[in-house]
Amino acid sequence: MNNNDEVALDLIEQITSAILIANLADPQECIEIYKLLEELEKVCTEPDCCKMTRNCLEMLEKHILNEGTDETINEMMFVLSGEKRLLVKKINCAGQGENDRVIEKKTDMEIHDSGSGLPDELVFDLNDEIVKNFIARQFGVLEELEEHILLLEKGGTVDPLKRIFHTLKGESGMVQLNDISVLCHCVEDYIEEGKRSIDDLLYVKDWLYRHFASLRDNQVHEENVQEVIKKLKKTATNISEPQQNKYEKSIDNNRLSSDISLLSDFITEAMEHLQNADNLLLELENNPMDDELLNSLFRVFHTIKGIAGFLSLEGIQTLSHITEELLDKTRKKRNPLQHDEIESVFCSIDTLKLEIKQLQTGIENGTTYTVHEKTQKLISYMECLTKKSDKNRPERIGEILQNSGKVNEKQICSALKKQVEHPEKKLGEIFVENGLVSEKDIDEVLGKQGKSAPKVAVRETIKVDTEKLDKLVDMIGELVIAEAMVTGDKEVVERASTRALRNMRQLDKITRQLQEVSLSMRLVSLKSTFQKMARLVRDLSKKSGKNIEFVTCGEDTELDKSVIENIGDPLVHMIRNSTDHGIEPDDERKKAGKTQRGRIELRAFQTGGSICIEIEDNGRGLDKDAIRAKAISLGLMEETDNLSDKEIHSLIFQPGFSTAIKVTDVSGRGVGMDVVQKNIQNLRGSIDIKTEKGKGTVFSIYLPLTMAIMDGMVVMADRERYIIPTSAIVESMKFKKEEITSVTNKGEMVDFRDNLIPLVYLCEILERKIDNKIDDDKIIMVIEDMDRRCGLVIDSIIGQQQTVIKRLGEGIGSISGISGGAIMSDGNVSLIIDVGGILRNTKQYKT
Amino acid sequence: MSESAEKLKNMASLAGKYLTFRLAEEEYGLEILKVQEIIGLMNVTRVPKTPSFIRGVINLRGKVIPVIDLRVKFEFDIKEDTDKTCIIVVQVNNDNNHSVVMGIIVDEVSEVLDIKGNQIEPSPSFGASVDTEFILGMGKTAQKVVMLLDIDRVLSGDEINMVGKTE
Repeated sequence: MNNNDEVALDLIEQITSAILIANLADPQECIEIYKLLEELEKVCTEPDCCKMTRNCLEMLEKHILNEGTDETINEMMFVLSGEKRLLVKKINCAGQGENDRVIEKKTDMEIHDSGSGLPDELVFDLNDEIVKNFIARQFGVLEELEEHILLLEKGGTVDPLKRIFHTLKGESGMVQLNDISVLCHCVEDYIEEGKRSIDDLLYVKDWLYRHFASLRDNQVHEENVQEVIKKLKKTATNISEPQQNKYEKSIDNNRLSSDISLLSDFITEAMEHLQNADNLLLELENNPMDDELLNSLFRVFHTIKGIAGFLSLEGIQTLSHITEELLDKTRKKRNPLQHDEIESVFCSIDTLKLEIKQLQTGIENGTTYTVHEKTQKLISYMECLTKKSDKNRPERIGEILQNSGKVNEKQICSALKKQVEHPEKKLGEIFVENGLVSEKDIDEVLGKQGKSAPKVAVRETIKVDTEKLDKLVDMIGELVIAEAMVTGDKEVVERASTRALRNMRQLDKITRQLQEVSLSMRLVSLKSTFQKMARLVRDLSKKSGKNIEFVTCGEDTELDKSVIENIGDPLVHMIRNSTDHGIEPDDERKKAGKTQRGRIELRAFQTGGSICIEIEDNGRGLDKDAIRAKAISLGLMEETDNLSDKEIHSLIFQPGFSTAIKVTDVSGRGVGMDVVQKNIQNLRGSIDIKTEKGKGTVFSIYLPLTMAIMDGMVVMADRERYIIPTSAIVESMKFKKEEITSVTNKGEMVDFRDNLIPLVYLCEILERKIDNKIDDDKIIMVIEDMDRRCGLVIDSIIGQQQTVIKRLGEGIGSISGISGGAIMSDGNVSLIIDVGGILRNTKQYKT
Repeated sequence: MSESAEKLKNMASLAGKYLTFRLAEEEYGLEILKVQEIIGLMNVTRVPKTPSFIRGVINLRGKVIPVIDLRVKFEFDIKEDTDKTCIIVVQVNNDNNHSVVMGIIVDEVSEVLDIKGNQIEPSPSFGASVDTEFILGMGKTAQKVVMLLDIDRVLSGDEINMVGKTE
């Protein structure tokens, strides 16, 4: 009986494709279809289906006898798809064993047919972001198509056309625009047969354009796809069998070598999708009842599966399919994902990433792509998981509260008893009444329990070559300087009328805004970096068996792209340290009277001219005595040395420094923090530690807003301007000759807050002539780097300024004491002083 | 005989357009393709710890480039800058075949000359003690003789890059 149903299903599919492709004006072909329908009627056992088939037959008869309208065929298609749905449902219900076969059918990419091959809720809504995106993209594709069609006339090849239609077929099939996919299929056949009518191809393109336009405007496209297909058929005869997948395989076997651009597009796209999936899954883990999240996740895998399918990337396709399957099951049951299910989806994401990376290297090295063995294993594991079905329910409010340590079991029991007495009251209300938890907590918990899907508006973005962007930023920089030169010109300002001055001010304002925008273009939000960290904490806490809550805050904070790229590594090391060393194991936490759940918070915010990233944990904190002891044993300090807390804490950044007794696979070798400091210094940032033993630690990383801009103090020395980074300046002071102590052969020293520091003449360092050494109106600027200090003698201070750092041209190598040049508002170049370099050269004076 | 013929053939390959400029009463020529632009003399920021022939750095539309004083480089007498003194911005290939943008300060820019192969003669040799390596050849025109400079040699990256590293 079931077998019959499947035969029927096959027949329906044959009929639908035949109707779409056949020239229905030709009675001969109509009779073919008629025969198929008759066969269907015989096979069908379901009374409803029989009725539907009968209907179809009658309609076709009418059509052959020229009695029907244009609507007849459409109606027929509608009836057939209804019948198909009915059959699928029936087979689905038939049992677990049969289930697998239907799934198999689904993967055969038969979504092209009429959308009924998939469960109803899977059919994409036209308002869906994916469909919208797809449609928006097609206008560009059609333009390209037209170009290639016209090139054909001038002797171009058909290969680009084939590619475009093939892509379009695959993608439109994926988003359930079946008319288009069928049409594309016909065009492919048409081209395959060697037909090259430019007019026909242009006609198809125009039709597609109109179709997409009406889809975009949410209107119904009047022209029937049949018309186009008919027209094509007049030129093309003898269309080969329409079996989609056979066709696909025959031309896709050598796709890997032939269509690199398509593949590389897929790679970038898929990587983006997977990144997205990671985040969605993390959110889903915290919010298991959120259908929207599950659906988005579902779509990710569906998209990947679709594209991988038509690119013949079997491993990726199967894996994403099985993942999709797993998610689909969960969705249908309306149960939250089980723990091991989430784990396996994570695993699947990772493996897919691996596969795609492999594919990428494959393309780069020209080798062929093979399915990873790990992937195979994962696929079979997930298959098992999909079959296994166990029940789960959403967490109860009491459980959530208990897990977060707000109430204990007894309190819940008593509250439950109370609820029996007052059935109208909610459990949460009882908790609040008893003063166990605050209302805010309950709200929070309810948010966790219910659907709190924060919807984020998708901003439109455009991908631009970074080189172009850098050039634009450079040119805007030049514009700002040129503008300053004009408006700052004495001659211009003196002679200008009030109106001209006003216009100049307007120009000034606009250029400044332009500069701000240009700088912000390179800014990227920390979001993806933070999300990576969330994943890291999750994995590490699973590994170490610690229960850790990870909170992020301020992830929309933006930083220069180059900074973002370089901050990832240090953050990884610090988070690893926090989870491994910072947060104590559960029993230790219990003993110390802390909440069972550890907490790591990652925050980002702007303070003044820099961005601060803070990592806070409520773990055991740094052990000052242990660090001290270790430092003494390593010979980094003497036992008698009296170091401040800050200095002791900064010892942890020394290479090879670790107080960990045991080296784990996460941390303990003392390499990580060294890397952290190096990277942060390279970014011209700094790091600060606040810690309290037993309470926790806060690491604060301060980073400059951009790599190219520096906050500097403009100073004069020997009639030349120099720039000293503000971050290195401790203090500036006037002084009297008597305060200078001359040390024989050791230069001069000055008393600065009871410390003797060496004096350095900026002119001397820079080999400028030194005029009459010290006099009363000179200024000493105390500069500091890496705990070394010296007094820099300069003529005067002009002021503070944001400067753009430039390299001193390639012809000039690195010069000690100079870190680069900066272009001043008058267009001249000033040199930036390298404080670290100066202090290194003066170390012989050190007391 | 054959050697000199080969030399003449080499000279012929040097034919092309040259930007000529004046430096201490002499006329020099620069391959036009090496020249990026000519700018008036602007304020040059001196950079410490560089050889004397490096006048300093300038801001060329947002880019910082070094400027070479050709008079100092060629060990001529140092003269005050005049209105006609200008900077020729050239693109030089250093030893690693990286193109480097530099400015050279010359007394005066003259004209662009089209020098044909038969107008070029090999540089005269003054004996071993005189280095004429950086002269490609001598261009003879109706009015004057122009020394064609091999600018890559003149501003050899080797010499310049050595600078900063000596502390």
